[in-house]
Amino acid sequence: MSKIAAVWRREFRQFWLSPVAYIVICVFLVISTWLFMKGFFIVNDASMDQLFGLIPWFFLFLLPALTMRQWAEEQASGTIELLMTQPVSEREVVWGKYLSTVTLLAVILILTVPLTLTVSALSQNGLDGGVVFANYLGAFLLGSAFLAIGGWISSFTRNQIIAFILSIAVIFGLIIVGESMVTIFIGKGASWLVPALEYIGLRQHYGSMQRGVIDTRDLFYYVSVIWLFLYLTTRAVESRRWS
Amino acid sequence: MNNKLSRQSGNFTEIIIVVLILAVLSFLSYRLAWSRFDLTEKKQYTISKSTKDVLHSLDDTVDIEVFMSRDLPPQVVTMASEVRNKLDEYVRYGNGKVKVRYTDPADDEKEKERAASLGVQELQLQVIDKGSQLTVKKIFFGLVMNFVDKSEPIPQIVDPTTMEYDLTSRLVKFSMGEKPKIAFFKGPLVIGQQGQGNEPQYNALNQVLGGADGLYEIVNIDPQADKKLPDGLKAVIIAGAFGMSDSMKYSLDQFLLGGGQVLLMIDPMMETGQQMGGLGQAFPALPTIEDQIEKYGITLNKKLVADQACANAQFRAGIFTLQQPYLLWPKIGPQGLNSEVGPIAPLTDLVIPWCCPLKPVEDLGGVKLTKLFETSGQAFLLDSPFDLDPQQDWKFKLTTSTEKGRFVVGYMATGTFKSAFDGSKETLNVPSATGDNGEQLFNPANQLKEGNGQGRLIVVSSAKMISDDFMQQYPINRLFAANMADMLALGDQLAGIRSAPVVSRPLKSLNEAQQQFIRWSLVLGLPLLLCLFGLLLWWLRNQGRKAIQARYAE
Repeated sequence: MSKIAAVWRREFRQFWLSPVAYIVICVFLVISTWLFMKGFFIVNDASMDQLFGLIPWFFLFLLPALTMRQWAEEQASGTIELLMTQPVSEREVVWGKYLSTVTLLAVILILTVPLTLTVSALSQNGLDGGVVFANYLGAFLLGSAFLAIGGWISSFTRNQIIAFILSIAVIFGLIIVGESMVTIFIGKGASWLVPALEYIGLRQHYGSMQRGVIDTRDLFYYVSVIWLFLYLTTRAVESRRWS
Repeated sequence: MNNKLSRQSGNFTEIIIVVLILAVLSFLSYRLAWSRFDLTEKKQYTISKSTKDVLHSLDDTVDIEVFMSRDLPPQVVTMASEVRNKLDEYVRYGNGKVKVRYTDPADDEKEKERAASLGVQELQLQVIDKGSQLTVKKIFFGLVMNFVDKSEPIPQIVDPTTMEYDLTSRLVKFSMGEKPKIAFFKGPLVIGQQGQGNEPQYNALNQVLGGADGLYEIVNIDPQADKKLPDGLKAVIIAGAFGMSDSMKYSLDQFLLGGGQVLLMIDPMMETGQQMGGLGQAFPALPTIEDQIEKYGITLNKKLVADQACANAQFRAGIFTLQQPYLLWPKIGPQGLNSEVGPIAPLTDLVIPWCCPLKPVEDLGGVKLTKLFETSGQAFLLDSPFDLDPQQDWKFKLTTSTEKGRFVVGYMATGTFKSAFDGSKETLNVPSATGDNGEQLFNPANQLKEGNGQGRLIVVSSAKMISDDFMQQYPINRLFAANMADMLALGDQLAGIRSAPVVSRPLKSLNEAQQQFIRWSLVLGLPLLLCLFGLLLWWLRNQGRKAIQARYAE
């Protein structure tokens, strides 16, 4: 555990020493808040639905920017060899690196809290605290799943740009596979596949949390996705030893 | 080389096994062990306590057969999932007395006929086919509830949010012999507009309560022709009491004393004419039943309530139709609603147009008064004659008004009432009324002077709030009226089950400059702070680096 913490500390510090974290967070905050506030006073409804509705699409582009360098940079610069000679296992390195990006995700979400508090203060009836909590939990789990997938893809390549683009493509694929535009198309030929595709779709499980309902099946889904991709990343990093 | 290949294939096999295990676990979690936590303020996605009580009181098994096609079009798949979730909750709280089974008649003509005979029809939906053309798809999406020898279908599930009411009301129906009777009474309200076709209509409420899917048998009362309430009533709903005869008032009095349930919606004003824009001047309504309800503990102060927390009204100004806040349509927010009263609990707000304050009478005897709703603290009263113009100078009216603050516009009185027609104390006596055959309708010897049952009288100082126009514009008002009828006729069995709309959360009033300030502070404030933090870190690192360089340079 202390070895995971050591990797986590190193990686998390690294984020703040490079401009990547600042750019990602600032871009996210400016664009999301701008889009949210654009029609906020015209709609005259104190709700965070619009922000949390857009979050999957923001995360689709922003979180791969955090994970693209996770393994690709280590491989390109050759520091991965050094890292692997340290007295830590591949699993501990994978978890340490992953938790550092998850912590950054938590920081990003915490930085939206002032917006939520302002909306609550501007509302005549406050905000529905339960729904807001479920929204934050959903966004955190969804983002954590994106980070696990992005980290896995980064472990394949030395090129950060390729890792970035591939991550977006794979996550996008896993999002739209459960969307109605795809299920309508698939449903024409193989309607029996529709429930399975809806289950696999990353955004489908976010939907019920957006409404304020936490279903243990959705929690299980996100935990499984995260665990599966971290397992695959560990396997991918381990396989480097053989090559 | 062989060693590497063998490792790779072993690794691949392990990954496949892990993925399969996860798939099986996902399937099991999906089908068997799961729970849901509804964190919404009004528990919009959880079955209510009333439903749980009804399920708990079941003395026999309810068999629910859901006719649902497996091959559903994508637009119905999500709805089907919500329906399954809801039914799963019924099974969970049914203590083994609720059984659900799913049937897909598919191409089996016999099954289709059986579904049709039970009341579930095949639906036709438009879908996009393989050639991207719109075609009609036939599906089954309804259910039948069977209880002992009774059967109740829901021919098609249209809206999962109303499903709880649809299911539970049918469970309640099973336990009832026949539909409870509710007398529905509407008096002519607007003197100046009588006969012009502008009187408020109350058909929508009548339809909700007594229509094909309604739980009740509605007995319409003619305020002028009818002299006495019919027997066997569970409740009386009065929308405007104007024109009520003395004999009907007496009948109502005796009904209440006998433990009857009455909802009295009474308008405090009458319009005398119209001006351009559709709204003119009005005066306090002529006295009707006010003296009588004062004896039950509630008085009407016939001044109009203007509230700065109000709904928007549309009105004409020249060739334009404008929409603007109308202070004479107070909007009661959550703070003004008594959520301890069952039918009020699921409400998020209420619009009560042209209402007046209600006051309690001090000496109430065995009657208990409960506030149902009150205006915001930004309300004030207008004196007669009432100017109804939405564009009048409201600030001037607020400044000159002598009565400001919160005003109660809905009360509930419960207990053993005293007769308002007690000849020994009051000037009113038992009215003399004869039936069609000349027989006396009321026998003074049988008069109740004091209640012999727990009666309930709900008084709201606006009948228009449940008129067709207002219920269409504000569906929450329909929910209020329907919930009240459920409580009066059935007790608390169905209280709060009818689906509540999403809670409305309007913003506080801000001027343009304030809005711009908040908008730009939020958009730029945090990112700027973050950049400053980054610069500070960079400067500190730079300083540290310089210090090290300086140290080793020496």
